[in-house]
Amino acid sequence: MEIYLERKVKRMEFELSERIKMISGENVFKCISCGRCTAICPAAPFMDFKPHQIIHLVRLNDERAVESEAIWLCTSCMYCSERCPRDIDVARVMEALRAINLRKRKDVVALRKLKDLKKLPPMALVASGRKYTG
Amino acid sequence: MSKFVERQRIGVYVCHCGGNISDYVDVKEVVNAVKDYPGVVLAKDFIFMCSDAGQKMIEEDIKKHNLDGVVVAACSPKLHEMTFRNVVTRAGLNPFLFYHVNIREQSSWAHRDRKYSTKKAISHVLAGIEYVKLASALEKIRMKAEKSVLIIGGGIAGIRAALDLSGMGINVVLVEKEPFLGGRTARIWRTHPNGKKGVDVVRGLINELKERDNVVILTNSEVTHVEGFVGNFKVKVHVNPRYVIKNHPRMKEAIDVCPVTVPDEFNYGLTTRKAIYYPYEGAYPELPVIDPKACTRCGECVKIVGDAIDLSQKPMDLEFKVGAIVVTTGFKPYEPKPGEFGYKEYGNVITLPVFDRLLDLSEGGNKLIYNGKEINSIAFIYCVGSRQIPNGSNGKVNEYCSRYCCNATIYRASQLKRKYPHIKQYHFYRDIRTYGLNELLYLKAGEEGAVFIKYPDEEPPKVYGEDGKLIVESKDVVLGGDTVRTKVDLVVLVVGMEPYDTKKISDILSISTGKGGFLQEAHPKLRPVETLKSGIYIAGTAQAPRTISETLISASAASAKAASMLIKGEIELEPRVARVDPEKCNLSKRCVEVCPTGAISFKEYEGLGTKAWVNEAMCIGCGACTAVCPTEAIQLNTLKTTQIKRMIEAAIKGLER
Repeated sequence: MEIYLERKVKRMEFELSERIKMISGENVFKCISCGRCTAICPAAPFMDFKPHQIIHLVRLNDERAVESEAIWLCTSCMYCSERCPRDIDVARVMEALRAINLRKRKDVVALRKLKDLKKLPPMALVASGRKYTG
Repeated sequence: MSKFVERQRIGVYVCHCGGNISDYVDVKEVVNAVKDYPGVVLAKDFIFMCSDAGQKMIEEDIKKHNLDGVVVAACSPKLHEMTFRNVVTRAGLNPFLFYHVNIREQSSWAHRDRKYSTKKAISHVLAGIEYVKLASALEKIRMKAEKSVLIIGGGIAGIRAALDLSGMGINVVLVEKEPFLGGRTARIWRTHPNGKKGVDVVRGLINELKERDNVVILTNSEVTHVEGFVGNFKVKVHVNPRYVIKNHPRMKEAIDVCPVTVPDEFNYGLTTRKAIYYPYEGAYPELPVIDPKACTRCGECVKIVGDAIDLSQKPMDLEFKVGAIVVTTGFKPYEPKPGEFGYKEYGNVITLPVFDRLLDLSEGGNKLIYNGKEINSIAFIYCVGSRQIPNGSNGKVNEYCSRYCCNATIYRASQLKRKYPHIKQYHFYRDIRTYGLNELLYLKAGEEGAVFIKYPDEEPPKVYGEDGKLIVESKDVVLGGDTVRTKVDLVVLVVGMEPYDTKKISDILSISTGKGGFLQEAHPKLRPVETLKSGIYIAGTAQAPRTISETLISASAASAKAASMLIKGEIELEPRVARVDPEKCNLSKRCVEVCPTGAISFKEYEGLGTKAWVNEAMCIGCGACTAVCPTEAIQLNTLKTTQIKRMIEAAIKGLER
């Protein structure tokens, strides 16, 4: 996998770290890549990118941070935020990344076009609704 | 060799050390075992020999029984040898007729078996008695010392040392190879932590130095020869001509009229200068210099300033007598090989010192321009020329960490952000070593938006050009080895320090170089600024890679050490030296080869011809020569071969009892 750090090569619509700062208020540049967040994260073994790698990707302005599965595996248990020696609220960064992903409205469910609404599981409906408003 | 007078009235004192010794060594048995030994007049034990009562007892015994030798069996000589030497001296006996036997660390603390440790203690005490029997009375060697110091190298360390020494009333000769003082520090853009310019830091010290009347500053000069020993060094200095003799109000015009233009080495070729020049504003001495290599002898400058310039000036050779030498010859920045990280291959790959000059020359503007192009992004590559990994094919490499580079680069990153906020920074590092308080710098630089990318040790980044832009490609350790590429306008190689001509200076002074070719201190902790050759001190980056403040600390330490040696005007040396019996010497010259300080030379002896001779001021009493001498002609004053033999015999006898 190759990452080009310039926007020209792999276009991101915005500087990721700045957007994260706007949404969550967290400065990812504070990170010293110590990996404590990953060490404590209960979901880390199942993640494609570990929490400290997600933070690093955000610093590098790499959109794989937004597209990763890891942000959906995060349960917001806040262990990482608790343990960070540089006081970065990693869970908030994760949440901000989810928000950025959702705002792309990639696979929005058109509720009006759905038939037999009553037969659908309510959980799925709620989830898709969140995707809609996220 | 003079005939030994065997001592026959020896007193032996065995200490209990309040149980430390007597719990595991039967002190009474030791006393009984040695009291009838030939030559021993009396043997006593006491609870604390080092106490006032114990000392008094020894003192009175020496006078009362007319003792001519004393053995004290107690703790480590490191602790109380001096104490008992003083006791013996107070009683009117020569302090070298005393021997300190260590039966605490070597017997009672070392063994659980009381019987065995007692036996061992007895054997050691017997050896001590044999030592004293053959010991000769010695006097401390006193020598007149020249109250002046030569400082080699006029960088910040040399200037600091000169200031400290002259402040203590010692005359100083400061020798600098370049035409101006200030060295590498003068080239630094801004120094951590207060952002002061390197030039201003140096200038501040020079302004103080200018007011001292006991400092001789020789620029454009080199030390060519040093001989002698502590307190009495003879130094030869070669002074290259400056051609400019005095200042003149129209000197500026004379510089402007010079037709020759050459790259300015002070700015690493970023600017040009004339053949007659000042390197920078505020350089000292405040007198321009003519570069003999560039000058065409056209005489244009002479037409303007007349007799202020003498193009026929000849080099001079001066000779000084000094008491001590402080070596502050400094470092040189590592010069990457052509092609290493694209150096010399692509125009926009420069080293950190050059980048520093670029920043200094760009002061005032809000754009950073290099090679006519504006710089909007910079990649720093760390550990260039430091912590290199030897792999057999790349020859001798610098395996050490250069210590200053992480701090310097990250401080610059922070300053860059303040001055040119639009410039993007990428830091390709191996490990960030901003030790101590500088750690805060690193954290701050990160917060301000510098991107740090860790590359693996074995795979440093690659630099190559693409469409007129530079690309830095590297593996990213944090992302588990993914390749990261970035296009940048400028690549700065953070180069380490290399020793500067230490081979030459160590040959002239016959001092040793250590790891990485830097000058070696006598002991890293106990004697950090001294060399094995007494009277020669080292400081600054000639000794090891250092930051400016560490350099200044070592310079002050070295000058304090030098001053403490010379300030009395007389040097007292321990008589623990080797002496030659010219009758036995067969000129095998082996001692000359093994002597670590070069103390042994040859001398004409009356009626015996040329034989080896030891310079007592230079001898450190290591005994290397006594081991190799085939005829036992060279002997240590305090430990003769016969003494060693007798001691071993007695020790074995003690164990066989």
